[in-house]
Amino acid sequence: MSPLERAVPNGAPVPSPGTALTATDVRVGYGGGLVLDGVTLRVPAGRLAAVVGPNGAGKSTLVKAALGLVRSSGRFTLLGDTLRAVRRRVAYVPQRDAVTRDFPITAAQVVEMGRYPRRGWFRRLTEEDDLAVEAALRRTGVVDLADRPLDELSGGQRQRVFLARALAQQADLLVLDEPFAGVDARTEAALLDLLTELCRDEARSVVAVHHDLRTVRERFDHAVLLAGRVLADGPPAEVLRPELLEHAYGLAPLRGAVDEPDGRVGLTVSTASPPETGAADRTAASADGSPDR
Amino acid sequence: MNWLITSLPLPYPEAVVAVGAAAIGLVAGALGPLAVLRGRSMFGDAMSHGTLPGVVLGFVVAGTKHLPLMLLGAGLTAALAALAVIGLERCAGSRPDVAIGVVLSAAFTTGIVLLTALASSGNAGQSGLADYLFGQPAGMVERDVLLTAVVGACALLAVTACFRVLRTAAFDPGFAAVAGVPRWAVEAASTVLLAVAIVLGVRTVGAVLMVALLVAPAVAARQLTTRLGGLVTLSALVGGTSGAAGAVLAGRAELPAGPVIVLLATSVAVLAVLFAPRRGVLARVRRPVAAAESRSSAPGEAGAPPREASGAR
Repeated sequence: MSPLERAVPNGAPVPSPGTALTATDVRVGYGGGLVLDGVTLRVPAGRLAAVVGPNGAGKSTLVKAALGLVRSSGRFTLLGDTLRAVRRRVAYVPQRDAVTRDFPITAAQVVEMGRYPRRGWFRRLTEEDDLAVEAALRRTGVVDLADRPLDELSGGQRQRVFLARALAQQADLLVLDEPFAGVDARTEAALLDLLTELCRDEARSVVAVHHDLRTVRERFDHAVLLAGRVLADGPPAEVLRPELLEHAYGLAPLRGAVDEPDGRVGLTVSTASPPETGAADRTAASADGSPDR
Repeated sequence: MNWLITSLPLPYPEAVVAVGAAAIGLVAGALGPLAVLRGRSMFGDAMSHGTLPGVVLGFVVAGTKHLPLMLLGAGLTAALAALAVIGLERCAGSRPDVAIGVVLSAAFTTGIVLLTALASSGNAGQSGLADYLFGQPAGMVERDVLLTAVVGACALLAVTACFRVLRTAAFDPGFAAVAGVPRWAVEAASTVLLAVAIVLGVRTVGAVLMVALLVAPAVAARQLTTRLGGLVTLSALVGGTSGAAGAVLAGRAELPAGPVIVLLATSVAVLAVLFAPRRGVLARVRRPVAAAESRSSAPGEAGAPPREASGAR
C-alpha cells in the first residue's frame, strides 16, 4: 500500500481525543480556483508535526482554515473537538507578515497577550499571569529583552517572543505558520528543541507550516505533504519519499497557477534533490529576514 | 465646562472656541492611532468626506442649522461610506485604495451637489453650510462644546475599556480572531469610534481636512513612544494642543481654522519625524552602524552569526 493511498482513507476519519488536528474533505477557494481541494488528514496528538509542500500548495491556507480565519467547506477538528469548544486550548503564531509592522509594543506586552484569552479581555492580570509571562520569556531565551520595543528586535528574537506568547497561553495545541522564516540556524535549532520538549515531556501538540524538508526529516514526528490536496500524511520518513516529493514539487502546483495568498517566497524548483531545495530555500528566507524596521 | 472656559485668559468667544477645538483635537488624536496603526488612514478620509452629504441632509430635515441633527446625518452618511468601502473590498474584491478612491469621490461629489442645489434654492438659512468643507469654529457656542465633550468622553471611555482588545486586534488580527475576538466586531467598533471623532471635528476642521487631524498627531506620537498607551496619550495631547492653538490663531489672523489647525499638527509630525531622539530621520542617519551592532550583540542572540544584522538595510 502506497503512502498516497494510506493518506487518504475511505470515508471520514472519526474525530477522536487522540488527534491534534483532523480535516475531512476540506475545500477553500480564493477568487477563481480552489486552493485546497478535498483535504483530508489526521495528525495525532502529542506530535511535532509539519505541514510541507511547494509554494502555493495551500499550507498557510490549511492552518488558517482550521482556525476559522478563512472560510472553508468540510470539517475540521482540533484536539478532537470543534474550534469553538477548544479555542482557549489553541495557540496561534501567524506568519511574520501577518503582524502589523512598526507597532508600538514591547516584547513583554506581546507575551502578555497570551494571557488575555485565559484571564478575560477585561479583567486585571494577576501575579500568576506576570509569572507565566516571565517564565515564557525565560524559556525562549528573551527574558532580557522583555522591555525592548518589538521593532528593535531581530527576526530571530521576534520569533522567540511570539513563541513565548504561545507558551504563556499554556495551550495544548500550538499552530505555527512558518515559525522559522527569517531566523538564523542557531535560533531555529533552539526553538526546535523547545518544541520537541513541549511534545515529548508535556504532551502538547505542535502543527507547524514549514518548508525546510531536511529539518522535517530530522526533527519532526509527523509530516503532511500538501499540494492542493494531501499527497501523504504520516511519519516524515514515509512522507518525504522521492516519488512523492517529485509529485508534489515537480508537478506543482496542481490545478493551475495558484499563488500563495500571503505572497510568501516558498519552494521554487529542483525536483532532483529535494533536501537541497529545502536548504536553498532557508537561505532565501534568511536573506529577506532582516529585522522589520 | 463653564469654569474651564472662563478660567482661560481669553475673551469669552475665543475661549469657547479654544476649548471646543481642544476637545475635538484631543478626541481625534486619541482615536487616530486606531486608523493609522491598522493602515486604515485613508479609510478615515473616505468617512470624513462621507460626512458632507449627511450634513446637508441633516440641515434639510431640521430646516435650520440644528447642530445635533446635522452631526447625526454626518455620522450616518460617514458610516454608509465606511460600509461601502468594506462592501467593495469584501464582496467585489476591490483593493482598498480603489474602494476608498471610488467611495470618497462619490460621497464628496454628492455632498457638493447637494450643497450647490441648496445654495441656489434661495433658502436663507443655508448660508455657512459651506464652512463644513474647510471648517469654521467661530460661532461655536458653549452648548456645542458640551456636546463635543460628552460624546468625545464616551468614545475615550470605550477605547480605555476595550484597550486590550483593540491593541491585540490591531497588532495581530489573526491571533485575536483565534483567541475569540471576532474580526467584524473589532472592525465595527473601530469604524464607529473613528466616525465619532470625524463627526465631532467636521464642523471645526472640515470634511476635507479632518483626516489630517486623525493622522498627524498619531504620526508625531509614534516617533516618540514605544508603547501604545503612551502613543495614544501623547497623540491626544498633540491633537488637543493643535486644536486649541490653531483655532485661536486662525481667529486672530482671520484665517480659516481647519487648515491652521491641520498645519500646526502636521508641523509637529514633521518635526518629530525629523528630530525624534531614537526614531527620527536625523538619529537614524547619524548612527546606522551603532544600531546594527547593538542589534547583533543583543542578549538572547549572543554568539549567533550576525547574519541578520548584516541583512538589515
